[in-house]
Amino acid sequence: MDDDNLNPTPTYAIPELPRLVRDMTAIGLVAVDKRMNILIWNRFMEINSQQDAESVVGRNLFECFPDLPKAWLEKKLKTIMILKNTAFSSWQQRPYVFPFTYTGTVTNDLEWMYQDCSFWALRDETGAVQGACISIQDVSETAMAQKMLEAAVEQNLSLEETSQRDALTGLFNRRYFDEHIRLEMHRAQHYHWPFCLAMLDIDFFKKVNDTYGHDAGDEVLKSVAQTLLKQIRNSDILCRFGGEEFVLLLTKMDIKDGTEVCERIVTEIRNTPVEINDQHTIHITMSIGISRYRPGISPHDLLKEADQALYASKQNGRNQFTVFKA
Amino acid sequence: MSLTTVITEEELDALKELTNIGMGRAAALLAEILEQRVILKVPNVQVVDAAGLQQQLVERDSLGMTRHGFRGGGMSGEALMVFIRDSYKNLQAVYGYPPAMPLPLAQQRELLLEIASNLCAACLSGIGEQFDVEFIFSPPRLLCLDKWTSVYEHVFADRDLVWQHSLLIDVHFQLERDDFNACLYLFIPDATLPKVKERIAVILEDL
Repeated sequence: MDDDNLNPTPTYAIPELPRLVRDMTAIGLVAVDKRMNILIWNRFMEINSQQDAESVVGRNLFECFPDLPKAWLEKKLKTIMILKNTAFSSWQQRPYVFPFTYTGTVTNDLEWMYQDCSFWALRDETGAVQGACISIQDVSETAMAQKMLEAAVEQNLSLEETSQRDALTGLFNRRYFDEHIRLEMHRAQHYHWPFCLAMLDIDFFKKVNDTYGHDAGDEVLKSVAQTLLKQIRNSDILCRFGGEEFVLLLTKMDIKDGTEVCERIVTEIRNTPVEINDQHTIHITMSIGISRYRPGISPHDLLKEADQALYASKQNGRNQFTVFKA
Repeated sequence: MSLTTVITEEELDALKELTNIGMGRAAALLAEILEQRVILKVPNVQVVDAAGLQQQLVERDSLGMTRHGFRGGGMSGEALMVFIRDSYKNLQAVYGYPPAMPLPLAQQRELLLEIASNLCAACLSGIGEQFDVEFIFSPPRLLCLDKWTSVYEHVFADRDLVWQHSLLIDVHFQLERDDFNACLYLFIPDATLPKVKERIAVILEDL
């Protein structure tokens, strides 16, 4: 290409412009070569690290700053040098990469500066990778605002949902189930969707309470709730029905897929022992009965079918599921 | 508009070929990062219509998903990474996390995003090389973690989509040493498909 004449080398009105841009920015800028020796350390970095560029440039990044998460950061830098690409780190996963103190400690109780970082490969004019660059952005204000917002939303939600939720497990309660099963039946009938209903019961739960006490029993219930939640979709409805009994509405799901979910739940519950205060490990199992919706069936009868199937699971030795058969 | 008018048989064949070569490059880059041989099947390249997605993306053993937006050379699209079960945790040592310990949630997320970024970047750079384009992409976003779901259910169901057709390239990753299972879905929807066709035309002409 011959457009050199169109793009003459710019002459800066201010000879110091590149340095000024590099230093007079509110973003931290660090460059390292392939051996992790520092090439650039801008003013933002100087001020926050309290180390002059003079004293760190040319030296190994991790020797200068032993507090850095070396294993992770080195892998990250090497990776972008291989991929010749960009990478990111967000305060939401890693609050900071460089441990800098936060400037607003008078009005806040924040200890460290929250940082969003970008990483990119440093290439010379031939395209060959010579090192890597990191930019560090102070996002403490954003992070605090976001945290306050989240706290407020959570508080609001918890107020609104208290009436629908079981206080111990956070699952929906029986009242919510009673309202919802009618709605689900209506939708199933209208759209000709399948759906399944399962009753679930923790085996020998009374024994847990008798042996380890009621607090341990509560822990088991909470743990079971979490394990169950992982096995279902957002659209499914899981309720604590009372005691150690749960009921699960599998929306838009036929009995074949419903059976698979039951199978997975039985396995996962069996494979997820509950740790109590690092003192006891309680192994538990679950029995399940499942039935499928048919047009015309009442909520009461569907529940009864699932309950009968659950009873069969218990009779046959627990730790299993049974599909209702008329 | 039918699928065959969106992209011709010949164009699709060329795309398959280019993508396949690109994946070879990607596998080489990834082997260096993941410190082991990467097993990539021949990627599946097709045009899908929004209505037909349900049949494509219903496998339900995914436990984590991320997305990136990417653009370059007038083309743009979205990359969905789908992690099968929690096999991604087997890479925690490779990525410089303490190997034996279960990771706290924030670091599980970070690891997932990290792997997603790398797999995505390697594939886009491999494909980009064939197209003579350097793609840039947005920071990755976590769509879900620790939730049994399918791509269709989690991303597309119950949503009005603004596109009708999309080029869909899906790549399946496995590793030689560590048990690891993930899929990358690259979507390039209709808006920039003409650019893709333009590129292919240029490349075909040069052959």
